[in-house]
Amino acid sequence: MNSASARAGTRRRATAQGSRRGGLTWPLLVTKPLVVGAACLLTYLWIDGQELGFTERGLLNASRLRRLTLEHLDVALSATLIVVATAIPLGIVLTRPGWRSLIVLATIGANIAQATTAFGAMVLIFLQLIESPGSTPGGAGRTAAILGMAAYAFLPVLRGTLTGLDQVDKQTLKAARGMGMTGWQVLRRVELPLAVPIMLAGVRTSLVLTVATTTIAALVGAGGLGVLIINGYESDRTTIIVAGFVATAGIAVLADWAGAVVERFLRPRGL
Amino acid sequence: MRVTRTIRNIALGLVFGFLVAACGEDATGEGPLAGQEFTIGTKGFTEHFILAQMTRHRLEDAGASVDVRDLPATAQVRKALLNDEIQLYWEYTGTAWTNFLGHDSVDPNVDPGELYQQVAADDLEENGVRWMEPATFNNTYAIVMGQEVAEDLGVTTLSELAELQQPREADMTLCVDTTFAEREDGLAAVERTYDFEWPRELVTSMDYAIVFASVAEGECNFGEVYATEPRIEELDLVILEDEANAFISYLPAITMLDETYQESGRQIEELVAPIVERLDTETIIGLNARVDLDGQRAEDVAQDWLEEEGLL
Repeated sequence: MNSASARAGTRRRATAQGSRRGGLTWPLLVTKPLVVGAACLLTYLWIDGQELGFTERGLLNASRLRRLTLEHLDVALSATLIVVATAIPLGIVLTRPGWRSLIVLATIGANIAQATTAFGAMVLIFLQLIESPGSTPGGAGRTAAILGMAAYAFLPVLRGTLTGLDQVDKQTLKAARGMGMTGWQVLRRVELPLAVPIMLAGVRTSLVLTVATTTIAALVGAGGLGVLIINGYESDRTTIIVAGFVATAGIAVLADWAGAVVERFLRPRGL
Repeated sequence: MRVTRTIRNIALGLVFGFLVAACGEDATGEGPLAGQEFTIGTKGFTEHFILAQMTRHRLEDAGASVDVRDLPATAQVRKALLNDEIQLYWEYTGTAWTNFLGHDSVDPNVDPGELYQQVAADDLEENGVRWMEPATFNNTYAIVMGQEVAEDLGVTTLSELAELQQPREADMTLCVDTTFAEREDGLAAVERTYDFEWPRELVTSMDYAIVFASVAEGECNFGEVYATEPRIEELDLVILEDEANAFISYLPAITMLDETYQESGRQIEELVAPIVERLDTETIIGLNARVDLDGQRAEDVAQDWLEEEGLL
């Protein structure tokens, strides 16, 4: 009975002491970054040995690549942040008594948002933004890209939250209520800690999805690594395409890796 | 009774069917190109679809059997031509000059006709690609602005725009397609020719399809468009005059491998000559408008126009 809250409490202490680190074996922790680093190095060496044309020189230099990467991360992370800030609360509300009937509706909505091409959604949002009266010019592309990506990546987090909260043992909840906890306390101290692993898995899926798909943000004026892929394709320069691909895939792998690390640290003890 | 009648109808149908089929066979089986097969490549935009469909009709009319294959962009179409996967396609002189012949820029004193001569000679010599007579319209780049911007900033030419940079730099927002800012013959050519630098933080690259809306709605004060684009007039946009010829000329002409040309080039040239003669800037803008503004299919527009001109 007492065990649930006690468990949550120990978890927090344990994490603070860093004793969970033992669960993460070193090879697992360093493999992915090493592979990404090696891929980047190989790409660099390969491109460095070639004579580059005008478009290649303009795109494949340190300052430009840094800017494109930052634009890419800006869109992808902002979108993920919006998703986390909206899909998790929505998932929590929908699992409260009285709201459950809306789960199907919300899931259908999120499904549609993901099934619709993200590019189409971005263009529609972009046109809406620039046509709305009183809008200040400039930056519509970034906003459209972020909102489009957020809609696209909403489903995994919503589903993770719903599933995570649903699989919490009903007996445990009863016990918590029996101890005199309020609904809010049960949610905060029992349900959420126990739902965290599945919720985080949803966030991780969404993050990887966003990082990989943000390449299309280049089509609505938000820049990012898609600029490389599009220009490489149109100018028929393999160097630029490969650079764009390695950078995008590398960031996606690192995002997945970061998600895995965070997951290990936030996972409650005993699961 | 009924059965006999049905059988007779079927038989009649079959006979007529064969007759029609025979006639059809006749129509495509005779002519200077009888029995020959061609695949025409397209680069995936309206004007190019129209040109390819016109060519298809003319060649089919002369007995050839013709396929049109849609490819994504210049690089892929050109590759397909060199591999003889397609036998002909329309290419623009400026594209060949920069993309295939490796030039960075063009002498501003070279007029479009001279550039064509140069491209045709070099491409044949270096790559074995033949250029037919070009049409007279020039589908080059253009920088446009809305009427209000034109009045507010009081600029009419690119050199005036270059001088604007000091006092009104913040107003120089520019929406361009995804490649214009990265190409040597694009934004870099404007900067080189008019000796100024367009602040990169004011340049937004996007899909070409939404550049027009962006300029019309004021997201950008300036936009980069193609000169034969009907939406320039439709949206009441003003072209900034390129008085120092920063942009290379882009005259369209059919290109084919020299081997194809030796076999049937002369006949093809004769067949498309009436199209080439008629396609001036005004005509192609009108045809592009039928597709992009009126929503007709490029295939239908090409056929209608050929019929209107008595070429089909």
